[in-house]
Amino acid sequence: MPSGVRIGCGAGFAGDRLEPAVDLVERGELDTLVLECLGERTVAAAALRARDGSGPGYDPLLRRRLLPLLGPSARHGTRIVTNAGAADPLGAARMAAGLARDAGVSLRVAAVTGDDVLDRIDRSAPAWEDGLPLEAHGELVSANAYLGADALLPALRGGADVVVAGRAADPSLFLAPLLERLGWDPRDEHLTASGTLVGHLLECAGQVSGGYFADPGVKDVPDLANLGFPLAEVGADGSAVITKLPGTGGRVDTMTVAEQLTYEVTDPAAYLTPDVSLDLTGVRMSPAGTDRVRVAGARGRARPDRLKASVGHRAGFRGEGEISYAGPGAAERARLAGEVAVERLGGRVRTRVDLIGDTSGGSGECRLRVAGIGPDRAGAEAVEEEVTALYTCGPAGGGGVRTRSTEVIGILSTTIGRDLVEPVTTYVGKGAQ
Amino acid sequence: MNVRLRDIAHARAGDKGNLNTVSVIAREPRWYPVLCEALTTERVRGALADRMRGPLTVHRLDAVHTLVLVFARAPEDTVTTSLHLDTHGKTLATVLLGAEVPLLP
Repeated sequence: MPSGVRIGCGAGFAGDRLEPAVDLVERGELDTLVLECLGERTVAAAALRARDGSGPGYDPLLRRRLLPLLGPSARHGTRIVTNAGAADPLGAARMAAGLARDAGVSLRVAAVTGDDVLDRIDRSAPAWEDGLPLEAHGELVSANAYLGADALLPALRGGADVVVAGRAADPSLFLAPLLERLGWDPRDEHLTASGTLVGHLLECAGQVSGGYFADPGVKDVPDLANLGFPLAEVGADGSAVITKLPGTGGRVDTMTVAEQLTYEVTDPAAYLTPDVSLDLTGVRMSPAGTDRVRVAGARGRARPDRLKASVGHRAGFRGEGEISYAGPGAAERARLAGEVAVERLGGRVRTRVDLIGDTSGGSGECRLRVAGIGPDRAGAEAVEEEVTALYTCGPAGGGGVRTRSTEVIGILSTTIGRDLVEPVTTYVGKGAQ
Repeated sequence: MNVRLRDIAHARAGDKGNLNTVSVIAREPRWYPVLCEALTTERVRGALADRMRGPLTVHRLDAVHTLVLVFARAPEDTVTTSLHLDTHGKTLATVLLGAEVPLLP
C-alpha cells in the first residue's frame, strides 16, 4: 500500500472551467482526478433531455471536458472518476471509450448505474421540503438515489481508468479511490470520515483554492483569472493537506478552507453521506507552507440506514421580463411599469417585482424585472408579453427589454431503503474484453 | 460600540432545498465571542428579512471560530422554483456582512 495518495478535483459543477483539470493531470502527479459535474437539478434536467430526445442524458459538456484529459491521464496513470454520467452513465461511458479509441489511448472505462429509482420510490412518502407526499407534487420526472463509495469500489478494484457514474454523492467520488488505493476498511469510521472530509473540501473545486472568495480590499486573491483547482495529499492515517499547483492563481489558506469546510452543511455534527455520518466539529486546520493547509480531526459515526434520493417533478412554468429606465424619475417609472404589468397579469401567475440599479430617486439607471410562475406555459409567456408591451404602452423612456420563459423542474428529497438500490458496474469499449 | 460584521468576519452561503446556510467565520479568534453573542435570530432576520422564514439555528465550531447559521426559506423559494434573481440565496452571506453588531462591553 502507498503511504499516501494525491487526489485532485478538476470540476466542481457542470459549468466549471475546462483547463484547470488538464493542468492538474499534467503537473499534479495525481492518482485520481475527480470531475464533480452534477447538481440536484442537473440530473432531473438530464433525465428530461434523455426522455424527449433533445440532448444526451449525460452532461453535455463532458465530451469537451474529457477530450483534452484522456491522453494526459493515460500518460500519467491518473484515474478519472466522475458523476457526469447524469441520467445516462452508460451512454457517457461509451462516449468516453470512443474518445479514447479515437485518441489512440488504451483506457478501461466503466459505467456505474443503479441510482435511477423512479420505478421504486415510495410515492406516498413525505417530501422533506414540505412534508406532503411526493405524489402530491404533480408528475415525477426523475428519482435518483445517492450512491456511496461502495457502489464505485467494484469498478476501481476492477482496474477501471475512467469511472462514470450518475447520482453518486459528491464526497463519495473522492472517498472511493482513497479506500481502494490506501486499502482502507470501509467500516472504519475514522478513515471513512477523514476521506469524506477531503471529498467535501475538494468537491466544489476552485471554491477551496480562492474561487468564490475574493472581496477586493478585504479578501484579495492573486491572479483570480487563472485560478488553480485543488488537490489533496492524503496520508494512510487519514491526515490530509489541501493545496494547489505552483504557478496557478488563487490561494489556499485557513480562510479559504474554513469557508468551504461548512459550505452547504446544515448540521456540522452530522453531515450525512451514504458512507458515514461526518462530525466536523472537531476539525482543525493548520498552515503547512505556501498554499498548503493541513486538516485533521474528522470524526465518523455509523452511516445512515437509508439512502437519500432526489426527486424531480414538474413544477410549472416561469416567465421573466426586464426593461430599463434612466435619468430623473427612473425608479418611479420602473415602479409604475411593474404595477402595470402585475395589474394586467391579474393573478394569473404568482409574481415578483424587482427594481435593480438606482432605486434611490437619483438620475441613474433603474431596471425593472418582473418574474411570474404558474401551472401553464401560457401564463409564463404572458409575463414576457406584458413586459414587452411596456415599450409602447408603459411609462416614458423604457428600453432594453429582455424576456424568457422556461419549464420549472422542482426538486424534492426523500429516502429509500438500501435494499432497493442495486448498483451495477459495466465495462464498455475496448476495456470490456 | 458597533462594528460592521464585515470588519470582523467573513462568510459563505449555501443552500439545501429550501434551507439556507450561512457560515460566519471570525477574522481573528478574539472576534469569535463577539459573533457568538451578536448573531441572534432578530439580528439575522433584520438583515435577511426578504428570504428568511422561521427560527434561526446556530451551530458552533469553536475549533475554527465558525458559526453555521441555518434557516428556512419559504416553501416555494427553492433553487429551482424561486422567483428571486439569486435563486440559490448565495448573496445572503454578503448581505449579512453589512449588518452592524455590538462589540462586547
